Amino acid sequence: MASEATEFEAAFQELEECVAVLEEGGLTLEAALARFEQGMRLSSRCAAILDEAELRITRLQVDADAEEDDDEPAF
Amino acid sequence: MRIFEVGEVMRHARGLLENDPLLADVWVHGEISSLSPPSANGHVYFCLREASSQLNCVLFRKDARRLRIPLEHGQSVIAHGCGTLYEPRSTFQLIADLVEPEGVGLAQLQFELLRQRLEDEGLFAPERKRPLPAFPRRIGVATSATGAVIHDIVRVLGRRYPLAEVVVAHCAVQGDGAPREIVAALARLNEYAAARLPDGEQASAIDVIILARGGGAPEELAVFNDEAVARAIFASAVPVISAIGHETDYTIADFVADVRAATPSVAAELVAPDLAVLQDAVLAARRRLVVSMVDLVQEQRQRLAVAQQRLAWHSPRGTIARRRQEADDLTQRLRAAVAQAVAARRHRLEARTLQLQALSPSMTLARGYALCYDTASGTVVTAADQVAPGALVDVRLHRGVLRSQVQATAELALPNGEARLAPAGDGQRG
Repeated sequence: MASEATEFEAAFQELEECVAVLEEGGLTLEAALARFEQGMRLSSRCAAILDEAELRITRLQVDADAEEDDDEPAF
Repeated sequence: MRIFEVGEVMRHARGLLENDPLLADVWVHGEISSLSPPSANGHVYFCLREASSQLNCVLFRKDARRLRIPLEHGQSVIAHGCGTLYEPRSTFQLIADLVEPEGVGLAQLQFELLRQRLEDEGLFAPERKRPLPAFPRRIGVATSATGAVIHDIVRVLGRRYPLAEVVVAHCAVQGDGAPREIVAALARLNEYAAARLPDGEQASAIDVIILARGGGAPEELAVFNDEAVARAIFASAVPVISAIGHETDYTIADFVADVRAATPSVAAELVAPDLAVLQDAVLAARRRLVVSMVDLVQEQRQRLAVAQQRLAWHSPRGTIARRRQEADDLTQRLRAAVAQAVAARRHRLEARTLQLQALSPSMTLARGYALCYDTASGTVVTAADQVAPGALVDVRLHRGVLRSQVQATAELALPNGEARLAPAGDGQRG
């Protein structure tokens, strides 16, 4: 189960990197365009993750040996 | 029968006293008397008196520092410590580590003692407190599965940070069995590893734990002052937020936890970033991308314009025009120079011609002089002795030529230009 939080964090960090690189300047037009497009894609992905995320809840059986992954809906 | 030295006897007595289970960890109630002024090294010496009994006490500096109210003569207190024999004076004394005014409840006494002990061990150390992760993937919650607490936490997280997964480990939060269940829940959350985790993710997949309890009677807080609970929180590799739900009083769990929250809802807010804030951050980043790009394009446009300008100035058309002008200029000057040279030559020619004409024999001839050529040799005759009488000469006049024969010659020319002929040969001259 891929973690939405992890994906968001990674995408957001990459997005910030794109912004930083573009703002620093010194890129050729082609390189800048590539970065720009990458950044826009990442920002769309981040926004989508945030919009679509739903809180998942797992209940553990504390005393048993095996854990249960109920994925029950919110309490 | 054996004879002992004083020291041996004293040491034996001291050993007996120190190893006695009651005296090793004893609470004593009494009235303060013989309170010494604070010694140079910070230790406090006093006596506890009750009726006709008196107990010598010493409170060492590190524990004396923690006194919340200074000790006073006549004060009725409860002291905790261990008994020993002070050999040099042969006195039995209590090494106290805690002194509280009488009237403080037992629970409070135990709380203070435990707090002191754990603090000395370093469980509360600020350096040890771990920072909370910025983007937790899984949030563990140790609390009662029934009750409002879990609802509150889930509600807040659902609103703020639905990206996370909440892993709930149920445990009782009140009653005698609660400490054991809390310890078990914390351990379980620390060990949690979802079977479907991809390779590379760490075994402890929980990023932060909220240990929560709803409001309730203060007596029920005792669970969170339990030593085993405190040690379990300290041992947790995952950072723990305590949300014991009691605004003013701190429990020992609160001291050990990495972060203390006033309520479970606050804990949920501390643990996760706010969705709205994240959305804004994404939009802001987008905006910055666009601004940077627009600026860059603008900058490039400007550079292009400048370059075009410079190019135009250096263009072949411009150069050709300039060169053409230079060529015209030079041609003009060339013509002028040539014309001038020609004119100069002409002048000289004319001058020379005049000179020449002046020197020319024609003028002389026009004035009546004649050129005489020896017909035979063609040379000019300039002296009479060049020709013999009878020779033929051509006399060149201004106009025409005379073929003449020399009749006589004369050597000299008179100053007036007349010639005197030699007598031989007579002519028509007279």
